Amino acid sequence: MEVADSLEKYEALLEAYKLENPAKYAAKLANGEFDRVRKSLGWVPKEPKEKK
Amino acid sequence: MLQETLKNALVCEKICNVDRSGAKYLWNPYGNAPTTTVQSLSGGSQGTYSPGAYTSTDDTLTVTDEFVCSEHIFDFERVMQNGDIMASRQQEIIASVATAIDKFVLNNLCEDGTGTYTTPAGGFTTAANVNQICADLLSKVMGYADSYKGVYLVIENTDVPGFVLAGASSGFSVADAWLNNGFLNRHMGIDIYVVRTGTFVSASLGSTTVTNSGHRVFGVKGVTTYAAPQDVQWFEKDVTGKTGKEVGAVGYIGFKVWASKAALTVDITLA
Repeated sequence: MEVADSLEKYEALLEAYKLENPAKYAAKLANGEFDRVRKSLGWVPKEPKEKK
Repeated sequence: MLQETLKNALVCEKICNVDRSGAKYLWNPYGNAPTTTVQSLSGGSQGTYSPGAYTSTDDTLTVTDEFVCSEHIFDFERVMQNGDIMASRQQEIIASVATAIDKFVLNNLCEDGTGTYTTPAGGFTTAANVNQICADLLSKVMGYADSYKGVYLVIENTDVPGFVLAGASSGFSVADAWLNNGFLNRHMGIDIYVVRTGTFVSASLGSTTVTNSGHRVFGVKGVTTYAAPQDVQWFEKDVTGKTGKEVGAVGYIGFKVWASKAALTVDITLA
């Protein structure tokens, strides 16, 4: 068992998950679940650039 | 000893059907739901009917994964250990295999159920959410005949405080029961099973990939199946060049949420 306990592992897991279960991947992507987990693993979302 | 200890440790055995026959495949085709016509006995079409076309679809469980745990116990370890190391290691190995099987089935159950539910913010750890969540979950499966088989909810131990506080503050006799007895394993008609934190994971589990971090599972009992051909088997063998014995346990598992009843298993997302 390979638990995705780091951002790198989680991204790799998501790639596999996308191929294995595309419908559920799309649903979880749409409800923002993956970003929630990424945040719990230390991911900081990029701030949108301010327009001058 | 092996089988009995394993059964006691499994949550899944209490909520899924289990097949131990030795089959690698279980065929379970399902048909579509027929439609009944209601017609007046005086409308002109009385006594006549149109035969419908039915369809049947294959649905199959395949045993896909192997669970194995093995160690070597040298003879000097066995002889000079102040205790029965063989029995001790056997218990440890069995517990390890049991936990792995439980985790595999629970995560696949959560992943493959097509029912979905997102809790209010705070999830189960917020006591004020618990009754609302239980009521919402019940409404997902009530009205189907299968719901009378009983319903279950699998939570992690970190969710328990919310349940205990909700129980202890829900009405008079209910609160007394929770206050006197602690965790009751049953709330609002739902059998609650607690597993250790870290059971629902985002991980590759053998042949499957699951993304269940922050998820729990609810559903109707006995509408999903896992196959464990001939159960878990214990082995001990002599190994050339080494004293003592190589010992271990091996089991094979396949899991299926049957298509026609997949909605009766609900994937809970904790908000």
